[in-house]
Amino acid sequence: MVDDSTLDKMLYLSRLQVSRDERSAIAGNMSEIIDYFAILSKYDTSGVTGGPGEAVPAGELREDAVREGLAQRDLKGLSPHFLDGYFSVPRVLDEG
Amino acid sequence: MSASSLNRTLDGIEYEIVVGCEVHVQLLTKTKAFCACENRFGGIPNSRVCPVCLGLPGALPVVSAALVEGAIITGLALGSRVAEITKFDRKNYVYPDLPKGYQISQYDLPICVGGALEIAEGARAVGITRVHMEEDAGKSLHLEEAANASYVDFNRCGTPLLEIVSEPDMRSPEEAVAFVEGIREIMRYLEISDCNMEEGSLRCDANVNLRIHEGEKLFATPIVEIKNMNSFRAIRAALEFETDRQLAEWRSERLTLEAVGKSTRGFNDETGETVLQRTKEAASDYRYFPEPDLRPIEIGRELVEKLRSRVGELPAAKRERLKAQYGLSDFDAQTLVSSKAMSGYFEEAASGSRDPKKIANWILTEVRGVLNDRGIEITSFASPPEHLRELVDSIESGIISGKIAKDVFAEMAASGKRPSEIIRERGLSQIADEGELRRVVESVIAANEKSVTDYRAGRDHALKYLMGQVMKESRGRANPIAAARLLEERLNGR
Amino acid sequence: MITELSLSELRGGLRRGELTSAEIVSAFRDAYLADAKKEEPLGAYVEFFDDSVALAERADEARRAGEADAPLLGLPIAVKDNILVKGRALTCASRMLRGFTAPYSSTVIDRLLAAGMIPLGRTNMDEFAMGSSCEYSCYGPARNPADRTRTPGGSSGGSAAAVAGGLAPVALGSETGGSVRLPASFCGLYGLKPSYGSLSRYGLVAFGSSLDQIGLLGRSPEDLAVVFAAAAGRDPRDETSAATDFPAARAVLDGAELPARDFRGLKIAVPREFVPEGLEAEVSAVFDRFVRWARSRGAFVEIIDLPILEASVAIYYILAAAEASSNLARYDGVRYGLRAKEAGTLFEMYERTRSEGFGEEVRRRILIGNFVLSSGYYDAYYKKAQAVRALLLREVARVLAEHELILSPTAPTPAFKLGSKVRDPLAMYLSDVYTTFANLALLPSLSLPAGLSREGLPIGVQLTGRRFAEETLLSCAETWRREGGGG
Repeated sequence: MVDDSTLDKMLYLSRLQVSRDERSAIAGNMSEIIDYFAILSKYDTSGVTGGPGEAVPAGELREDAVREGLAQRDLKGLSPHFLDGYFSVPRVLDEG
Repeated sequence: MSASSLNRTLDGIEYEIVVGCEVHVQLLTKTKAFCACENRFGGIPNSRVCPVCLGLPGALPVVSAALVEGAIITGLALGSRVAEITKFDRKNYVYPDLPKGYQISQYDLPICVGGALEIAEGARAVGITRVHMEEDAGKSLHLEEAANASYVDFNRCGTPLLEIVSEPDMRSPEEAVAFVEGIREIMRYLEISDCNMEEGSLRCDANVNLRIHEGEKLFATPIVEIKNMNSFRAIRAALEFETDRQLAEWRSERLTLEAVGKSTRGFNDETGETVLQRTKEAASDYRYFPEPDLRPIEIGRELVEKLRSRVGELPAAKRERLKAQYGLSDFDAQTLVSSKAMSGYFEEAASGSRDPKKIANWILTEVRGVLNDRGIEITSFASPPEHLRELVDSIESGIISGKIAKDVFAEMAASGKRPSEIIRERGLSQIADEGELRRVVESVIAANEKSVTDYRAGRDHALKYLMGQVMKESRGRANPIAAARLLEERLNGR
Repeated sequence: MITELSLSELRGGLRRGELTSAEIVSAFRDAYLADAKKEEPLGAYVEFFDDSVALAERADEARRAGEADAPLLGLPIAVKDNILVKGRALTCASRMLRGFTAPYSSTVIDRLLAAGMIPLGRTNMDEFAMGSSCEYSCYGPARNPADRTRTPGGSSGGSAAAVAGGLAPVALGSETGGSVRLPASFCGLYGLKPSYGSLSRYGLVAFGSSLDQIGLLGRSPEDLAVVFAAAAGRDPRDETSAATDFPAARAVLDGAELPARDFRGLKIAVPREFVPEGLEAEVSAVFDRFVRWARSRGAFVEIIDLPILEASVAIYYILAAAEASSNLARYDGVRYGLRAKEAGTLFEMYERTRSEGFGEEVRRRILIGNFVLSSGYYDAYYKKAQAVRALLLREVARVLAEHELILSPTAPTPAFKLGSKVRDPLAMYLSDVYTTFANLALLPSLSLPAGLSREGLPIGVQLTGRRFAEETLLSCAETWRREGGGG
């Protein structure tokens, strides 16, 4: 069910890597769980949609008033890679 | 207009250009889309961030009412249907300037659907597919001296955006430019966005391909989405380049849309070329699903009607009306309509005025001069429109001269006082009373016997000199036309 | 002994001046330190706050100065390690968040602090709340005080072990599909999963956003009522929080007694799907005894058919995994938390950080979540699960229109042995077979200690009510406590 190319795509979307020996165990687990999901086909959902939940009237949304956010001090506490006011990362190329 | 008239021919190939645009517009709200951080351009990096827009664990988005209202106003201006129920979805992709790993956007229930924008170019209507709300990402900075690193600033992250998607209705680069200009005009006029392409508050992507006509047969070249066009000039240049490139590609390879599909190309401003952007196929699997942290929004018809009244007449219609109603030139109408407040000021001042054209001149020269000098908007200008009307009418009715009016205007703009009050306080009203003018003329003639003799000897410049003395004697207040008539009558012995 | 008293009893002691807050907090700290020295410590806390006794002394000073108007002044509470407390570490029991300090507090914590409560420490859990045994923790498992070779249940296992083991009077947990009720059942506690929207989710680290709720674990329904009342209410920072009032719970917070519910005429539904033929004998025996007791008190208990419930685990795992895959995308090493060393490119940084930072179960759920959302599978899994959830909501609402409560065992077995299910994810998922439907249907649900197995393992029974009927559940549980369950 979860073949090599599917597993590769899911790993890419998840930004995860696995070793060669882990691959078959992970694909096996995933397949078993996904097979279990087949139980849902027992239920006739024609004409039923998840539909949007309880709506909020537009008039009750957040008022457009500014509130103070985090201070630079807080940001420095978050990461050692927060330097000179920026979060530094390896060079951004076209890759995601 | 029939399709065939839009066709072009080059080296025997008959083709038409098909362009659709996706325009992103940042809104001028006080706060960000989903948090209460200040929404503003630039500033100290990472100085306007909070747990929500920084994607900290446990933080939750809360929708800004101003974003929803801005979207509705935009939809109404474009003639869209405003949804009764709208919702947000997550668009999942990975990028360092996207803190949550997803962008809150709208997928299958956008706030506005349909509509059209009239463009001057080709005098056509470009269809609007949809308008939806989303949030902007942060910004990555790359420095020459740090080749292996990038630096991320999240100030822009969460800025409210509208994405306006057009139908593929444009048939030339010029029409595409006109469309984006039209969007900009409306957004500025309604004060929804400042639409500054340099600062990125207006951004445009275009989808373009060609329809090739070979006798009865019709072929479509592969659609290319062009990104990174950062000026109107770039939009035109990129589309022109891409048209030529697709034409050449068609000639050599005859690739069709069916065979190849879509691709993305980035416009390079320096070379003027578009360059293929290779992306992994899976990267465009955005896995949209309804944003569970936000409730769907119910848009009551009362709110829509309230906002509709705020939209009022749109720029194109208003321009035509101002020209017809007040006899303004194209240029004057265009400039006055650049903002809703400016055209509103004009119309209030012009209503009941004896010379609306003169009012327009005053606004476009003197008033705009003051606004530019002080860097303020018309809404903060000290003098209300009726003061300007009174000033212009004072000139028309001969109470003050045009020259004195400029002095009066300077004081009006500084103090906000009524022109009549300034004229009275400073005794600036023109002397039009014949009896008083005669007294001035008599006294000038009595004091300048030599000039009177010169005049009578046929030296015309003497008249000019005497007239100058009359104005001087009256401290500029003599009505020049009446004074000149009286002076000549007196000198000619009548 | 202080550590055996309920929160309400401790509160009475403070009011009457028989106890000080410092005595109370010190007693729990001493119990924690003593337990930590044992051969198989409970592993309930991942951090016991050093300054908790000092905070208690400050509360005592305030009380002496006559500033005791905060209703829960000086009373301690343990907090699951996925609820932010400003200035404290927070890890979700994940290597991914080691070294992270919360720069803000969750709304629930803000309200409990305002009510005078003192956080004792951060409790152990399954990583990012994904698990049913508290074994998927980067700190190692928590243990069941009733039998230390067994799980306390998960994911709020540390919170349950702390309360059942006498290391805290009450604890905050969190639920996505049973993570408070299952540990309550396994450890012999009262555990409340409030209605979706009753407690703000702001500052609760997200797992499955359409299902998540902060929950409460304690030794009596009254203890849950006071903490619930102090924490509930609409929060402008959480659009999904509800503006519901809970006057009865509020009265308990203000000092009234929690009223016991008269069972006469109470209509209770037992779904046949939740008491199958093969239900474990001991669970079945305890459950049947509870049903007999309810009937003897005048309740109408009716077995009903609700076949949609058989879909609940599948719906739950699809939707929770889908939302989790998106919610956990933010752990990318850019702004906080772990960043893998020696990653040359951005792509490597992401992959290595997330592969090193997340444990096996979290990685599995992210992969499944991305699978059910990806093009080609979205309609068959994610969209189908949404539709079946809508169906389930409708069916459950139909039952609750006729009956006031849905009654079932909380879990299909008593606490299982540590290590028995970690290699079999599907078997682990099925521990939640009776709990997930309440999360899917947004309903309040409470597990109460209904009895013991022959080996002395606690077995729970679960009451699920109409949305925002938390007070009904608490009052019914109070009746049980007074008449049968208090033991």
